Amino acid sequence: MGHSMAKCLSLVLLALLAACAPGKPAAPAGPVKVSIFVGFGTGTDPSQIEVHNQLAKEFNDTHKDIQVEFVTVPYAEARTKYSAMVAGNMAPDLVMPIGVMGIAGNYDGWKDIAPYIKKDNYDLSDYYGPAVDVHKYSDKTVGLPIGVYPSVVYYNSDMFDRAKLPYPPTKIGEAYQGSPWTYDTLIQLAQKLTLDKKKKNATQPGFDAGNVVQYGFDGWDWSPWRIVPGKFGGNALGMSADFKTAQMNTTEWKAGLKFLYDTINTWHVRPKGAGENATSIYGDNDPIGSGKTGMWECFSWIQYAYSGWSANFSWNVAPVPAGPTGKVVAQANADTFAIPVQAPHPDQAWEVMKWMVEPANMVRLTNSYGAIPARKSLAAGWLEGQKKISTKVNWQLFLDSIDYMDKPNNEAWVPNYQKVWDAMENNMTAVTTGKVTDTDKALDTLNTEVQGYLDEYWKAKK
Amino acid sequence: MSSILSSSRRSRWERRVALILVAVGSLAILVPLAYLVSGSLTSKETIKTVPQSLVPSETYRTPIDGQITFVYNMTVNGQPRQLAVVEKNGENWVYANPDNPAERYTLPAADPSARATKLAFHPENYSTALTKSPFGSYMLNTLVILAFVTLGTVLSSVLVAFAFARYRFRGMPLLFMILLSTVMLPSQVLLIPTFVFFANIGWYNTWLPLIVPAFFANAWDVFLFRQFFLAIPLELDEAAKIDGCGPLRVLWHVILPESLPVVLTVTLFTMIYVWNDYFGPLIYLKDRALFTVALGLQDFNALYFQQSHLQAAGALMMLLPPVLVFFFAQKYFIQGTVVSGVKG
Amino acid sequence: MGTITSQRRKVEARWALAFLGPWIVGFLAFTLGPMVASLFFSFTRYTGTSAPVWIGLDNYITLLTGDPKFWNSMGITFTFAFVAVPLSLVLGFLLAYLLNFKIPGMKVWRTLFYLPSVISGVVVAILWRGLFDEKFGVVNFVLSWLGMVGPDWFTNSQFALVALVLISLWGVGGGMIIYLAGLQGIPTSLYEASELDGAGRWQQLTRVTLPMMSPVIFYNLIIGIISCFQYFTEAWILTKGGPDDATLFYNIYLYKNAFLYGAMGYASALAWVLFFVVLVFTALVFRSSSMWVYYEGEVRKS
Repeated sequence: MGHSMAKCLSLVLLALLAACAPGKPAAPAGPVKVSIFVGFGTGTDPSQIEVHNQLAKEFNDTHKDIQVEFVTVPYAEARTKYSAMVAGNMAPDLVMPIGVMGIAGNYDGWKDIAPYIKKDNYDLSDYYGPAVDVHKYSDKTVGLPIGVYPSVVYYNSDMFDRAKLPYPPTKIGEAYQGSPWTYDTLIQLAQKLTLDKKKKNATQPGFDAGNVVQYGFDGWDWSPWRIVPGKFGGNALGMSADFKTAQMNTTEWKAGLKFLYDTINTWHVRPKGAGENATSIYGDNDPIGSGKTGMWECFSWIQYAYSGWSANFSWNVAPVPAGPTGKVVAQANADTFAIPVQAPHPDQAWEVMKWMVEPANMVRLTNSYGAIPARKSLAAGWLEGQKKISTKVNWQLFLDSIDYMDKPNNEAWVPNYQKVWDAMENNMTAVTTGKVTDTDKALDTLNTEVQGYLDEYWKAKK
Repeated sequence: MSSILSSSRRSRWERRVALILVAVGSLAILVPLAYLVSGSLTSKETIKTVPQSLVPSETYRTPIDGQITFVYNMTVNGQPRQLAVVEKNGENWVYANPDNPAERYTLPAADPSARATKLAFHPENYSTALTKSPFGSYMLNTLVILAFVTLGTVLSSVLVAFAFARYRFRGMPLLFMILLSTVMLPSQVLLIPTFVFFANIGWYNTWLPLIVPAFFANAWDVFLFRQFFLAIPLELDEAAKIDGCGPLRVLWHVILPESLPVVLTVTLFTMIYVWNDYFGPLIYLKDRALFTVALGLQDFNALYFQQSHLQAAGALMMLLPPVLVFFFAQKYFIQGTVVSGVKG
Repeated sequence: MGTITSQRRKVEARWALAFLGPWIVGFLAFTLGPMVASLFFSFTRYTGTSAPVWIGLDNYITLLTGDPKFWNSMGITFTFAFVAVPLSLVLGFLLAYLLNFKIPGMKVWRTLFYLPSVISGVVVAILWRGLFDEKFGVVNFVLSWLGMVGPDWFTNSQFALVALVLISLWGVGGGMIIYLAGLQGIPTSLYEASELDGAGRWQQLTRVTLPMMSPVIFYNLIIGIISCFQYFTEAWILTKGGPDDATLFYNIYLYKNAFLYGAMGYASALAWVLFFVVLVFTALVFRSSSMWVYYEGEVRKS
């Protein structure tokens, strides 16, 4: 082959080896650069990028020792890029906004900010208690709350008009036509709103369940379905508090899954399908927006769809009904900041975090994200802003629902998080698509599968 | 027996059949495309209505007494009228004539299917999509990257393929298998090691990770070139060698002219790949000033903020340049030189 | 005699290596390192962000004995490949063949069929989601003309895969171009000669066109196999592996392990198993190629 060739090759290999050795860049003098990674949640739309840039400019103009920079990555690929950056010694200093699910997906990778809160004696009194708690875990606090997205039942009031039915209650605790506002009451109402091709509703004889054109109720598709057992008095975590024993086939869990099954197959108020791809009912993941659903239990981040709804029908909101135990659980999503464990400048990141959640700044973030601000002092301003969207919608209900946030949160961390999530997803899909009819047996199978994932996790920890 | 007599009639019949088959098959292309076009001309509010309609239309809404309200197709005294809703009192609603709001009627609550619709085209989606982000500079970036990558890919792949097609010695089959095997490993597991490598040599946030590797041959293109080179008769090479051509001149004077169609095909493929590639830029770029068009379009797919109408407009604009290039350049690389056979 | 040929061989070898140079350097610089790294990771437990922990062959053992999803996803991917590859080969060739006739509007037709392959996979997926809808989608609408009741495609575990195959065929125009380039390269003298011999259309197709096109068909076959085993984007957007793992393609399962389950080490093991499977298949097809692929200008062994 020739010596020259061999020499060439060895040169290349040497260059390779040199390049692979991780180099640590010398710390530059001057202001500390804090990079904020956006992409784990919302915040990547051009209009939101503008808000971020504006905030960055204001921060930079008022802080000479810290300079902030936003790095925005499309949501679909954010996890991938984040992993690459961390592996390449380029971890960002802050991640925002990130929801409970985002935190849980990378749980071990976030820094505990409880020491910072303690050191600065940071005042948490202006925040809603549940909003702060949702980011507190047994071994760490991950971030300061930015916004919350409680759940309500959105309903198409035109449909109620056509069916000549009174609207659902407006306040938590209010009754409906003399009956307490529970899921049973809701289902009965939903049946009257479920119509077949011949305009017969689900309570009337001769109702054709195979040809439904309008459904009465939908919900729970956008959250892991373990919130449902929570409403039925079960342990929403689905496992023991030490995360070692799966508890997904308890009586309450079985009752919850049977309820879901019944909504489709016994009461016919809910369509068959896996959600996203049943576009004739779900449109673009929006049952109410498709104009085919009477009531939809969803989180408030669906705000982006309001203008589309208003363009097609009148709508309002009702509280989440109480479960069979009489308790109201209004599941919520929540956005926060988080500091990666590998962040190069965690102290400065904390300073930036504090600045971003100051009321004047937080409100700009929450308006941009479509979130309810986590500070009580901003509630009045939020109501004013929402009135511009509609003067008829009962916006106060959102604020009231914050106190009924689920605990533990429906997206809260469990071991082997994503595998457990996928298992629950598959289980729920199997029921909604009709692949499974024996819901009790399905939960027993699920429990075994999840127990396996928990065992796998703890075995690796040893 | 020779069928030359009927060959012209036969070929006309064949052409008719081909035309019919092609026309029917093209519906599979045109119908989805029509939906895409329709989506790009729809407003943000109506793009999510179900069912997706081929013709962009909107509910007819009109302001009455300071409130914007729906107009329905109602029947009054047997006559069809278009009336706007002013008040909803449970079972019966109050309607007004949009042109004369004082004219009121009390009729039963209307069904949404009675809602009046009108055609509504929103070509401004295209300009909105273009201006929401700095697509002008994104375009420039894309063209620069495109030029370098195409040049590098075609150049290096031709050279490497020439070796595989015209040289045969021990180790060649193995090397070819190694070449092909480099694309058999799923890219997801190569992502982090590759990224770490580029990060360590300081190429993060530059175009270098996207451009430089292109100059070192692309396995798919090498394979394709090799297949076409192997189809060129050796006699042509021999003839050139007798005239005193070294390998490079054989490549330039014999192989490339005979392979013009495939060279142009690979050029086109590479350009389109770079044009559509958003994942590479996503991983390696940080400053938005360096972004490409494909990456810029991802902005319209934000969580809770999907702007499907802008996405559709953007997608259509994205596919226009490659399609136009193909349309006009077709004759160069499809109806290219026909290899004249060597007799014998 | 012996020294002259061996000297010539050396010169030939030098030229060959010179031409191969770009690829060899690039391979060593950009590809080999990451490949070796991923092989290393396959023997570790590695989340992607914290340090890898050596566990030897554990990943491979789990994969082969303790993971039903591995076999499931392999099966799904194989099924997809065995259906989609032949269909796309036939369809692509047919398309190129039809578009090689001198029909009016040739340039327009070709551009039209080429168009889908230019649209990014993300947009294609979103577009087809609506078209496959059970009640309002065009696909079921067309099926209803033919007297059939279309299924609820993407929410149906039996039909979701079929829908994905059909969508993958939509972009067959991309491969059509290569066929067209190949068809143009067949000397007309061969056709004339065959006509003089009394060959009909079918015989011309099988005796002249197909053999002369075999290098191109071979290319599309190999590329098709390799691509099918890497299939990801459309399935990820449309089904994410569902419903209930019915479309859990190998690469989707791999991606989940790599970036969602925090099991990059296991994902690397999955990757290398796939690598060997594809390698074996490709090698087999290559072996068979000497029987059916015809190269006009192949260098024969002297």
